[in-house]
Amino acid sequence: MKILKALVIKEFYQMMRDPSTMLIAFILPFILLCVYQFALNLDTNTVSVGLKVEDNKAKISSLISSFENTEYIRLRRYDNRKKMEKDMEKGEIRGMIIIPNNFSTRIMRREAAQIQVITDGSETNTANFVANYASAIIQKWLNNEYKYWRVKRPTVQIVARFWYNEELNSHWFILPGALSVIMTLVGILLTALVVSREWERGTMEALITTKVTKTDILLGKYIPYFCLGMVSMAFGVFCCVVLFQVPFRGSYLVFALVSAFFLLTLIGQGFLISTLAKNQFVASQAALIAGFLPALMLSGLVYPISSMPKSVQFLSNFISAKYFVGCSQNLFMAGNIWDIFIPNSIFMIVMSVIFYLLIYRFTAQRLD
Amino acid sequence: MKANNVAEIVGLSKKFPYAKDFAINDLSLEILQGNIIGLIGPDGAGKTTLIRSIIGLLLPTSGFIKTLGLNTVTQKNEINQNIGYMPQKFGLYEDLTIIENLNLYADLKALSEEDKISSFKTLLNFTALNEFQNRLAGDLSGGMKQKLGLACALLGRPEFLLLDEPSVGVDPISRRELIKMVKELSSEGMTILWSTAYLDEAEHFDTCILLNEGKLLYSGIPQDATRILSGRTFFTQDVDGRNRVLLKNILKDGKGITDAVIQAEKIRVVLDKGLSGFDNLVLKPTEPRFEDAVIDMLGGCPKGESELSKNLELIDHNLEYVIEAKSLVKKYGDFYAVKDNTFQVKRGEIFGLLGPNGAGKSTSFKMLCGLITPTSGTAKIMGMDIQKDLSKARSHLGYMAQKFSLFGGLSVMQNLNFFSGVYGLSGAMQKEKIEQMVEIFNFKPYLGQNTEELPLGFKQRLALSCSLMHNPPILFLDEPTSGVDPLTRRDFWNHINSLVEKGVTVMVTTHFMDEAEYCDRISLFYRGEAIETGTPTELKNKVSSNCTMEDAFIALIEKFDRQEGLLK
Repeated sequence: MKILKALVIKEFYQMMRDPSTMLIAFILPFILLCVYQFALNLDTNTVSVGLKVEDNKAKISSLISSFENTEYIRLRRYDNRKKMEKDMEKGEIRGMIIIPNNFSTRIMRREAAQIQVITDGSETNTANFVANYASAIIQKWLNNEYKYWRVKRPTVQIVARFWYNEELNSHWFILPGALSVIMTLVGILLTALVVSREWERGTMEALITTKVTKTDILLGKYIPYFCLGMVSMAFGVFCCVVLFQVPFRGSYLVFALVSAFFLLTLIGQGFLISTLAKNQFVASQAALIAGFLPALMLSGLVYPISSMPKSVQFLSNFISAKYFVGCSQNLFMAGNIWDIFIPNSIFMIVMSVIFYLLIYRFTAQRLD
Repeated sequence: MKANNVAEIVGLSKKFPYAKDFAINDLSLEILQGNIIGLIGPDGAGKTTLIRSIIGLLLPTSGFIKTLGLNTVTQKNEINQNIGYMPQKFGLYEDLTIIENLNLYADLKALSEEDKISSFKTLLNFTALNEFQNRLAGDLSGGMKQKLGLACALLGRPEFLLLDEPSVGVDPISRRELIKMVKELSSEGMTILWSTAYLDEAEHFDTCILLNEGKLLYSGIPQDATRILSGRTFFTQDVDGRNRVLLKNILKDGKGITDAVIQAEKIRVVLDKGLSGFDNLVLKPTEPRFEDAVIDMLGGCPKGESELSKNLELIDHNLEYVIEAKSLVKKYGDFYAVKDNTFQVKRGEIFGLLGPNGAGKSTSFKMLCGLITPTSGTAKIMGMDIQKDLSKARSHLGYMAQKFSLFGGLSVMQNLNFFSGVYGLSGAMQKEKIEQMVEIFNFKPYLGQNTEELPLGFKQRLALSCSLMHNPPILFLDEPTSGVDPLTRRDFWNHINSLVEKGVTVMVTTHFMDEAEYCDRISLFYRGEAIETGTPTELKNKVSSNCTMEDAFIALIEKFDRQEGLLK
């Protein structure tokens, strides 16, 4: 016990005195959260769409105001079609909606009336959104105005409401998810260099000629970095909730618990890399490639797992960030959903145990 | 366990995976209790492997070791209880203070609180580190780190203390203090195994183990080995100014010569067995040293002529002084790293900067080659002010940095290509120059190998060849032979001597006092000042007529300290 305590104290001293540790644990997550908050935006309310109305009958003014009054897209009115196409080429607008001059006449004649929607196919998501949005507005308008036009009322009505994220603020789900990717980076970067540093500086060689046991060495590393990781995680949550005003609906206690499991997998992965590498440069490269990139790609934060090929979906099961993304997003937006937390926590616990056993296996008390 | 041995090694062989040769080859040896045992041998002889095997850090490939009567394979933990071990880099946590390091290691060795307090007090006094308790280990000088490493290894009063090259990179004063401390420990009954590449340390050891290529060459009392050489060691007459030419002639065919080294204005010769004279040299007998015996056992010094100077084409000039330093000052904050350094170096001279760790040698050096801007004063290379004509002045410089600064991840050939490229060679000229270097230094078998895998001596030669790519008339060597064994060192100096004969001017910093003997003039550096300048003999005569360079070095520094003390 005394040996373990001495090792933990030593590690804390080293942590405090190494500016890069504090940089990685606090400054790095803050910067990355800012990047996700301010630079990455999946919201559509900033998308501009051009509208040209060739039909000048007064009757369709209500349709035009439907388009104009929405808060989900920004509308620009054009009189000149050439000008509108130019702006589309420049990327200033992402779609064009053209109401042809025979639109109202055709509806009155009960013929199929057409509205032309042209979208910028180079950005698929935006294009889909613009197309869907245009047709939704027209449907809604028809719904309200069918009596006037004396057409049949549509039989099915779609009333859409957005749960959990009523304001459709994409940051509300991006930031909690990003926390997972960011902590992966922080957790692995912090720990991946720690063991290799001891080998490089020759201190490990001196350590293993004293009375320390393998468990002492391992726990002596785990405990301080677990504590630091939890503080760093708390700091990240603080940034999200207080600075960026993301609502948190679950229990902080549950969040702490899930974070603890998550951190154990990360620290385990970091120490495993560090134990195997014995060289700081290799360790840091391995940490990025084996830790951060898979977490970014396969955690489901950026690319939905359900749309990945089966084999890649299978791979994603080994990424602890995937389990934490689910927990974190739910805790922030939905609340305590045990059906998600319990299986995800079990996966993370199993992973951290496996890592611990592997490290134990590879931690040498000899040099060969 | 026999009462009088601390380690029993029987038929030990050790081969590392991927290595071609055995690091230790069928070694049997007994290490007796209560002695200071020196473990000596060239680089790659297996010294570190042997130490690590003795304490169970490495497992034997075959054979077995019993340390303190315990099997190293199965009883490593029990062995750990009773040994103290200081690895090569001292095993200190640089971001912990002295007292924190001690505390940590005391806890790791499970010392009780009372034991801790009393042993800290003793050890801090013993190592004279008391007043620096709260200084970070990373901020200590080499000598202080070494003492702290020793203190940590001594916690828990081990029966058996193992020190792996404790004196590498440490100045003579600190070395002498360490030896004193170890002798004190030994008199209290501790057994100490001390590995080193410095043969002059051997005289302090009770017994010596000499390893070469993993095999045992000698085990016994150093004086016994030295005695065999009696009647074979001589000094030549004063050959002032011609010592390098004479040495070159002696080594040219080398018949009958076991060893020959420059010692100030004379040459010290060891003749082969049975000879009493050499050519028509006037020889005066002198006492043999242990180093002579070791060189003899290793098969004699490297002979033949250096090919290096043959292809050297230097630019003609008629400057008398090629390096000039005028009142150089370097200040960091309130601290003077170098204060008022002035000297001139003549063409074709070897000028040595000697001094303890942290005296300001490297800083002076770096100001002269334009790597550091002086706070005031001027540095001139070939008459050019290095501040004003940096790149032009530098093109006359070859610089071999401490620890050789090669690219470890590149092969030998790639290093040669790179360095010839940065020195501005290209095309046929580059190819020709590289081929020359490969031939002179025998790089051929190693061309494809990664540089970091090479033995130290090879790295040193490679670094030298890289710094000579552009035929520089001035060569700067910053601790060129630190940690390199005596044979490689001789080979290195043969190359340097041949360059100097061609007119190259050499400036060198070193910790090795016998290396100082190669210098024409020495500047003794201490606390940022040149406290003495002169030929090696002049400096020695300031102390006494028959002292060694190391004695002179220590005496002069102590004298300076006393004078400073009086002034205060």
